[in-house]
Amino acid sequence: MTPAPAPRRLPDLAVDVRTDDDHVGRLLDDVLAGLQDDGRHEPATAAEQVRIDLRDDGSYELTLDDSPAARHADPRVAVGAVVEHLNRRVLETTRDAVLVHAGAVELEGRGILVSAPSGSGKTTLTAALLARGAAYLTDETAVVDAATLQLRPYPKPLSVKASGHRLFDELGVPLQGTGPWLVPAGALGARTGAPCPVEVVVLPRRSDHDHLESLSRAQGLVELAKQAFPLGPTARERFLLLGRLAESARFVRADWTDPLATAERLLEDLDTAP
Amino acid sequence: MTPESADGPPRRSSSADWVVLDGQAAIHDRDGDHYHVLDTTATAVWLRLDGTAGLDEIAVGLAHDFGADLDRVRADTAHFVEGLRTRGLLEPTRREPAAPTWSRAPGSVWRDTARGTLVLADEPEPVLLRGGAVPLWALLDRPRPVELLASVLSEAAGVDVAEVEPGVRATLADLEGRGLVART
Repeated sequence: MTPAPAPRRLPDLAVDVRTDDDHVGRLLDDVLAGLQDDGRHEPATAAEQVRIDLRDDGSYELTLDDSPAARHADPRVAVGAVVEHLNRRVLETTRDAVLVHAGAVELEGRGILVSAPSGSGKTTLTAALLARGAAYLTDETAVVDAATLQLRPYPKPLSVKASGHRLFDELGVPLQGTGPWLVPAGALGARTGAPCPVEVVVLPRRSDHDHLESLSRAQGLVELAKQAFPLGPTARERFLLLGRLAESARFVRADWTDPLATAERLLEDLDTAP
Repeated sequence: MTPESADGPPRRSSSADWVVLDGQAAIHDRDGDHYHVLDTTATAVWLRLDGTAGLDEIAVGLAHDFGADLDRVRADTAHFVEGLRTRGLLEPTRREPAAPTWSRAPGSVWRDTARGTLVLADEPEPVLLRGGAVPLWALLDRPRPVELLASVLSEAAGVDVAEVEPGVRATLADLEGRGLVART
């Protein structure tokens, strides 16, 4: 049995993730590195426990709060199931916030939200922004604090699909085996960002060219609101809260084919914005 | 049919949440989870759709604010509002049904006497109205709602209207039963 690691910190929940297998332990440490206590908060007390145990038949058993949940032959798949479980618990437990289907990064206290339907390149563009110097807040599930309208960090591993493989090749980050891959932001040299207001909402769209275009706040709000998870506050509260966020944010439609070039232009745009 | 004719002044649907940003309304209709964005002109109409103003009043206001031709604004507004109704973004503002009014039956014949008001009716004997029924009868020279009748009588008697109104209703019901008053 490996020593119990510190609980993994989710936005409103601390989860103890354990294993009796050294290989799985290393995988977990790698993939969940962003969720380790960063010393900026009071030490967390785990409210829940997740275990992966190697069984006699060579399978990896996933146990959620003492209840066996699944068995997997591949330890990476078992680790992926843990990440999936943690993400589900974030959706279920995060309070006083609007959760948006979006990636998010921070640059010098200014937040960039990358929000779009699946397949539009959120993760790829988020990774490109990290590779170009932004700090990481989250991928796929952005947490907007209802009181402050700030982005709260939830530095889960990036969930990279096959369509994002080329970028990681280009950045020299190896992706082993078959996807999807869980990549900690640290692999891109990114640190975890601090809570910050949303300054730019990027609405990416895969294209055959790279083009940024400003959207009206009303149009941008509608696009952003479509990506809000129907959880937490009421639908009315979510919409009005995102409306308040939109009052001070800019919205950019990003048609892209080269994620790094688009990320550079977005960061330049942020630099030159008043 | 115009957007107003059936249902009174148009009013935004209570299922529509909306925010105005830089003069444009972003709308989320919780019924069906639909989103809409309005341009600045349409937003100016949207903001007036609070159920208090009819289409014509809205058009007059818009024509004034935008310095535009009233007939053109009237037509555009009607078209736009009809579109909102089609998309389920308006809810009907039902006009309150008019309160019933009461008056003496046509052809009534009566005479004031020392004992009260004597009214001839299609009954074997004339009906003698006494007490509070006398001033009530005097007020039934034209159609009036119960509330108004009770209010006037309570004022004259110096008592609370709530004390008077039940008696007024009962008397009117009795007179109606005798065919002496008509309800419209």
